[in-house]
Amino acid sequence: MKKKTAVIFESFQENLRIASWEALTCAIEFSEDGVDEITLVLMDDKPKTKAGELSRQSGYPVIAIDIGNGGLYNSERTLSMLSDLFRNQETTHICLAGTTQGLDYAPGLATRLSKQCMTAVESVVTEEQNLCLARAIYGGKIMEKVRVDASGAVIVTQPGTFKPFSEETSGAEVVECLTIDTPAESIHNVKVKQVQKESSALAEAPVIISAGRGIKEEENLELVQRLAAVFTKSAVGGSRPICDLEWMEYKQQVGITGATVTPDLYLACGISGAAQHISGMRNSGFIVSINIDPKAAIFNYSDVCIVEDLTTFIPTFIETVEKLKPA
Amino acid sequence: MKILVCVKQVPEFDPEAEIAISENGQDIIYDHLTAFRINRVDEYAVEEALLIKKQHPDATIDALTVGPDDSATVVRRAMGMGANHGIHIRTSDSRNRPAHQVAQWIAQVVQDSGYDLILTGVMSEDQMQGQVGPILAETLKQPCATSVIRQEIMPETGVVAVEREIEGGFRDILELKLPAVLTVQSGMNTPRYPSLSNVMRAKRAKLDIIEVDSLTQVTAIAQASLDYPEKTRAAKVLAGTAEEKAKQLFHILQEKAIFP
Repeated sequence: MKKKTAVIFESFQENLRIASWEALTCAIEFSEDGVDEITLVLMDDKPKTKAGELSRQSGYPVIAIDIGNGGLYNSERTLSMLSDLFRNQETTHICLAGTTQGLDYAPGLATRLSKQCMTAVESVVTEEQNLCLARAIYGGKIMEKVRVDASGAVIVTQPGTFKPFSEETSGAEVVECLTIDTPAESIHNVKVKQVQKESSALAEAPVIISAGRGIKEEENLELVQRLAAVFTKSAVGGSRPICDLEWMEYKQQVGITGATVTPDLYLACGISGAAQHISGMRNSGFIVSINIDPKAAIFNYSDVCIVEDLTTFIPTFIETVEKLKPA
Repeated sequence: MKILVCVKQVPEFDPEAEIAISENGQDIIYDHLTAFRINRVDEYAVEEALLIKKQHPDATIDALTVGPDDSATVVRRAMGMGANHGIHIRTSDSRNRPAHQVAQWIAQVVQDSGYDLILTGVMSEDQMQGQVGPILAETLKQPCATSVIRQEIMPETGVVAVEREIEGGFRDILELKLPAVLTVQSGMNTPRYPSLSNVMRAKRAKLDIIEVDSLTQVTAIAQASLDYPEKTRAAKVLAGTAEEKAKQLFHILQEKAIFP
């Protein structure tokens, strides 16, 4: 049976989120080629030009929704607009990126449309000839594969896991513009403010040494600093729990609510490998992980795995480098 | 003011304890070493409720969990921190209930309780769905904000002002009409340790226990199968003593031209 899939594109400050292009890839992988129908939905306060560009670039028809509201995201308005739209269109599956915005409204949207919702989807896999969606659970130690029933689902992709869509297309531009005026009664937008500039140190460093909860004591951060000093140009980053403990500043955080980094070398010290962290570093050039737990999820994303206690291994490694490095 | 905090019991991801998949590939098996504790980000939700109570002393805080018999410990943990009352929606066995099922059960139990504010963590550490809060809000027809890093209740206008953490160091600032559901992000405050007197009180306290069999069941989600994750890279495990591993790593990085 022909399915209708919609992919929601999110814009932030004039740009479309890369994660939305990843959600499109997921939708394509999850569709039957030549049978299923894919439509893109763009929500923006000036959607016209962007929608034309999106349609030409992707080769898919675009429904552009003028959200007004100064372009600010409002979950109450979003839920009401999208549930009306998808009911009218009889959409089967809805794909969107697991940004903080996507995760804010996707479960509610699924509930309103009586569909199942899956968040943090990492891949599309085939199990007994059924297409399934796979997601990491238990801090990445186990993969859960979920079959989607015919009534459809809201599928939320984990940023950084699917390749952003980048096929050459030559389709004509197909755009339908809608203005849906839904007043918000219970949620009022005040503004969006920047509280922290992104750290340029992390963005520019060819080597990032990153610390996770496995470093155990704040004093052990000194070891991580010393390890960083072994490399000519390096920066120190950390997982969210380390920043929550105030052992590091939030601008040093790598992961979904922090920085997305792609250094030549990412050296993960005591990082367990939860999906939120992996999203921020999985595309690094070369990944080395040190963890005492041989089953740590981070090892599945690493080129080199070292099962050691980092409080003893880091000093050993520093000594080794000093000995072997040509003068 | 009535506040509800939803907390979850999760396994400690201790390398000593094995988290394995059952033979039929459907269930998670814990071994005897697995310890269970409160979901960390839910502790921030409990602490935030306590901070609200400090400002608004008339507030009462109920802590609620959904889970098997022993998950009552996380409700008592929240009471040890200072919550006034505990509610346990008791399931028979499995811990891995789908988020929409859990949210529907909670909604059925609390819909007539008149809570002004419902707080919970942004996601659980085991299932990592981040769905219970928003589905609960949708079912109760209340506004919801996720990933909240700051809140301020203004009782005179019946509004809660919130800051949501969004990407790139930005915050989304909103005002929600009460009653509302907020899911909180970690780092929002510093959760306190339970106090001895509260722990003693929590130990003796009688919880409201609701058996899930007495609630309406929703259709279960399509059957999931479980698997160990595949390696996305070479995942070469270095062998030998620590010194040998250090040497190997040095040479690997030299080959990669990271060291001269």
